[in-house]
Amino acid sequence: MRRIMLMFVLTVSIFIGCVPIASADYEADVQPYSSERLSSAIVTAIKGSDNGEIDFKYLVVANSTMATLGISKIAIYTSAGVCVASISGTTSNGLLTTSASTHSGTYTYNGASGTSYYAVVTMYARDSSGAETQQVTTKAVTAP
Amino acid sequence: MSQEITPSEYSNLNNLSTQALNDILSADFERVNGLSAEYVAEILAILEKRGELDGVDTESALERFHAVYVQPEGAGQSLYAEPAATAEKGEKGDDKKKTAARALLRRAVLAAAVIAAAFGVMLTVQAAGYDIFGFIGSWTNETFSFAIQGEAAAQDSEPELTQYLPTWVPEGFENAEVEITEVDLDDFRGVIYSYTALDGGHLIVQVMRYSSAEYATDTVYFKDEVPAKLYESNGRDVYMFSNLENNTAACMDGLTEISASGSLTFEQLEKLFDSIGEI
Repeated sequence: MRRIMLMFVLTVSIFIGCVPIASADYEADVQPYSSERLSSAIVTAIKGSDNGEIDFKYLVVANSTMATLGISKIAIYTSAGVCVASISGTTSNGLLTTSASTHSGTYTYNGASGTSYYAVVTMYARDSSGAETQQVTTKAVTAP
Repeated sequence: MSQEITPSEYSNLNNLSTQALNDILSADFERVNGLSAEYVAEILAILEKRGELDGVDTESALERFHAVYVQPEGAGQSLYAEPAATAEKGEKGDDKKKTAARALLRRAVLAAAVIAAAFGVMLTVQAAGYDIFGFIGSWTNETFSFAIQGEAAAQDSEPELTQYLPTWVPEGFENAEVEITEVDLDDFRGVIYSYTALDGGHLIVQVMRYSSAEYATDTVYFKDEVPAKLYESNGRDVYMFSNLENNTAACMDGLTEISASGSLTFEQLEKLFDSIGEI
């Protein structure tokens, strides 16, 4: 009986101890997705046409015309979670545009054939009242 | 539709012959919804009044009961007395069995025909490429997206995207400045109409076409913590949700996604979606 009581007390203690840890993790991971400037986005990873190629296709739609809009960063990871590339968006490389309410495009990454990749894509929108970013993680796709 | 017998209708039973009343009782078992207890009691009362139940040979009735009804499991036996002799009864019992079997067979054939027709339509529709399984809205406190419900067909017919544009926009947007953007990234293509009203109001109407159901699930709408609500318009499930000061409505029609977002009320979004009509 004493053993059962001890097991019960231990189980409850472990459970109570885990709750604050779980909450802390949750709060750290939560991103405030509701957006003042962005309406919707499509970001998807697709096998490219050549060996080792992965196409990251995106469409960012803002609530209204933005001074700057698009992708501010693409971080590419292997399915093992190793970051293999980080690309900053500029108007020169076409990931960002100006005076637009929508922006779309494709970024092609040359990786290793047979390796699976995914990307964490940061979207960016700036108007006269400020700027904001939102992140989307694509599905993992194996390069042809 | 079952016919309800009211007490006033019982009086009509008196006009029926004894044979007719007996036939009604005998036919009771074939009815889907049997006669009511009151109705049967009324018939029995009339028969009793007419003396038809008097002078019953209880001994022979009991003998007949044991011979006919008390059978193992009662399989294949009639539950109702027949007016004629045993041999004749056997023949009539067979007729009744045949009638019941025919009725059962008719129902089975009808059910099989309905099922076959339903599957036939499904296969035909699938063959034509229409998405008969569809998508369902899925949301959290932060985002909304569509998830595949059941199996989604890979393709459906290729509609003209501008067919999905609303024919009604709220006052203020009728003469608004409109920026039209066409998107074509092979795996998804679409048209986006961005309205900017003179009073600063804005509206984005977006029609996207996906080459596969998988890409439709990659679209993310930003929303706040208020749960999405469902509205049906022209046979489509339209999901509506708020994103801080803006409201959004979105639906799937096959592999085509239609959405409208902006400084509109939900009532205005409903009216806007109603104006799209059936494609």
